[in-house]
Amino acid sequence: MVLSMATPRVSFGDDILMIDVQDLRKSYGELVAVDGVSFTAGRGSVFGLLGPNGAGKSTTISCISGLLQPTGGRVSVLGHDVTRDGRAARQHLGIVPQELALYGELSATDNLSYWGAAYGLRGSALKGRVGAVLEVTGLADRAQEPVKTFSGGMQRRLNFGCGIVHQPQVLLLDEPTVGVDPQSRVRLLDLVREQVADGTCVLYTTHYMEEAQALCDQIGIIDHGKLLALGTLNELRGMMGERDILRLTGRFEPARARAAVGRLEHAEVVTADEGLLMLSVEAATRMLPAIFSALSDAGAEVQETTLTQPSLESLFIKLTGRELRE
Amino acid sequence: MRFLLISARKDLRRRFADPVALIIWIGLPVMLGTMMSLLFGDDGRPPTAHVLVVNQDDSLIGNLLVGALGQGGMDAFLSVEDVDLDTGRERIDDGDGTALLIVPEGFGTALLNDEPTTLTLITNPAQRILPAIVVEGLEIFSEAVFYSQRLLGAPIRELVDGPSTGQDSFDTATIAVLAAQINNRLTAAGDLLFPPMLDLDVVTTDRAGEGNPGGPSSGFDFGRLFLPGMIFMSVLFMAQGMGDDLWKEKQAGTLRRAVSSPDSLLWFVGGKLLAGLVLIAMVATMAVLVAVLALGLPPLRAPLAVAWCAYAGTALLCLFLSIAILGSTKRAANLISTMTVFPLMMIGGSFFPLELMPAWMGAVGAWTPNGLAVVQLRELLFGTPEPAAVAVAATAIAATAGVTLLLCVRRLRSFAIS
Repeated sequence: MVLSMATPRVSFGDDILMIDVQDLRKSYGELVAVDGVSFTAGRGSVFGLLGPNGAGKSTTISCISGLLQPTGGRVSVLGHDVTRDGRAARQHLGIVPQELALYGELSATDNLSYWGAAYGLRGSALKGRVGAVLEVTGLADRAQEPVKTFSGGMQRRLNFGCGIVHQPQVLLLDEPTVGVDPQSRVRLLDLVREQVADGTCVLYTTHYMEEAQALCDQIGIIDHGKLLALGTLNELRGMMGERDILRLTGRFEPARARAAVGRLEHAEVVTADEGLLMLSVEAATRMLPAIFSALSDAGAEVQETTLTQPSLESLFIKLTGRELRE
Repeated sequence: MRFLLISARKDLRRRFADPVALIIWIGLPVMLGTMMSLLFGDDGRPPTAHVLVVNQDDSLIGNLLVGALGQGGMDAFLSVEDVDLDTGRERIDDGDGTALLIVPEGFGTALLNDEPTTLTLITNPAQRILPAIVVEGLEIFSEAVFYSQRLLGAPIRELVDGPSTGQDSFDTATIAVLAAQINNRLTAAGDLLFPPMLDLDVVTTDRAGEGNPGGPSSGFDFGRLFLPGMIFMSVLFMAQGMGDDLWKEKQAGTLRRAVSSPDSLLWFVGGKLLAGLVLIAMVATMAVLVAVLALGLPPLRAPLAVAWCAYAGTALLCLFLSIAILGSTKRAANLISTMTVFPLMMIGGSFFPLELMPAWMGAVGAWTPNGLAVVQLRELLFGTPEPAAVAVAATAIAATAGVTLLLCVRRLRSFAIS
């Protein structure tokens, strides 16, 4: 069941659904990588898919981009079904993959020219777009040098540039900031905002909560292939209420700890094992003495305590019992 | 279609960005030619076999045999050196010489008395072609000696036995009788011998390029035998080298991006083939020009030969592109590709001319993609190509390319995301 504050099909701006994913499934034999994911995104918006590594984010993007054939469900881009009308759908897509996708022996100009031409640009339009992208990515002064001589951050920016050179209406960004230095990360996020300001619809996958909070209009929290929650940032925060996440490490007897906490008001166990106890607690700072007392009576030995204010991270923990970066 | 052209331009730029690989490819046929030339002599003449002879039979017949080996037509491919048995053994064991011929003691006597005798020939295992030439030559020579003995054995025996007791030399009458005997026997056999009923006529077989009317006079020699195979050895190496480009694109991440682009992957792969065609044509131009200059071939043969090399080479590239993506890792792909290229070179006439192979192997080799190409290239360079034969070869090569290209494109998407 998906916790959602939004209606299943949301349209933005001029009522055109840029991305429409309904009941998407992708499995590899017994392994279900994406399990009934549904969401929509409109023009000039950023839809964030937030989840840990292996949650199904990249598989979802691969199905939308036509790289993978969905096992079930329906995906359309600007009304074009990616399975039946793949060419038309892909024509509107720009993709920035998680791994670099560049020709190292070619220059930045050659890379941009090739991918621009691959999407139908030619002549002065192509030249103009290549020049513009080189400017916005800050690579104009190194435009003719082989890409393999670039720093990691520069290559990331060019990777982004190759995805936007043909001015796609839908931009798929698959963890574009992984392994990027802070300065380049800021620059990349600015580039995303510029695209959105121009009306591009962005699907952004990340496991960085801060990025999702900073960029996304709508966020879907995904884990084990399932969409666990969907809504705007405020809506998702609302799902947490005023509850904090209290993380206790030490030595516990899980059953006794669960029973002890269960007797307290305004506190519930998210997860419990012999070394870790996570609780969802309303006004946790006031509840701490009572919690420690109850746990002590249950034979627990608490060694470390961490309190997390309501956030996407705490929502993820509440939904999955795991931390986002696990 | 436009995606094909821009993909080809992109791949050519990538290739030209790596000039060392290009230079190696272009230099490959020149290097191979130089090596072959050094191996067989740089004057374009057929190679000469060096035969060490141990003559343990100091008879007239034995001396005549040894003397005849290095004379007449045989001196064109044999050089003979007298050695003693120990030296001969030692030298042939060291690989110094093509073969060691031992003429046993009593050889002449046995021959004249119709008794069995054996010439021993020890060949150099380090050489392949020249010892075969020596064996063939000596077998023919032995037969000639045998039939001469059958025809003229009696008068020769008398000559060898020497004059009657008490005489220092043959008297004039005896010589006249012997001469008359020889003349009578030759006259009696004249109807069989003159004009010769049996003539050794060197004709080129189908595989070697049958008939050569109007062909260049430089004809059947080292160049004709080895050059087409050498050129396709280079083309095979190029095709194999370019075949792993899909792995490079996969590892660079660009293949996934290409799969997500709107146009068909057929054009993406087609771009690689078009770029390959241009590069193979460049290398073939270099190789064929060297051949034209070195062997004095008519320059007008060059354009068709280059076009043929580029056509067949592109088909081989199709083959290697599809083979490369069979591997689950790049290393496995390289292994599969290497396990393909060497057998193809071995039986397809690149290492050894098809004519020097066992008949069954030559027949199989002539139907491999590169074997088909080599046979027709030889015709285009040295012979008179028959349109029907060229069409059959071109169709077979195109079929190979078509099937492998389809397999490649079909598998490319899953290869990209694997």
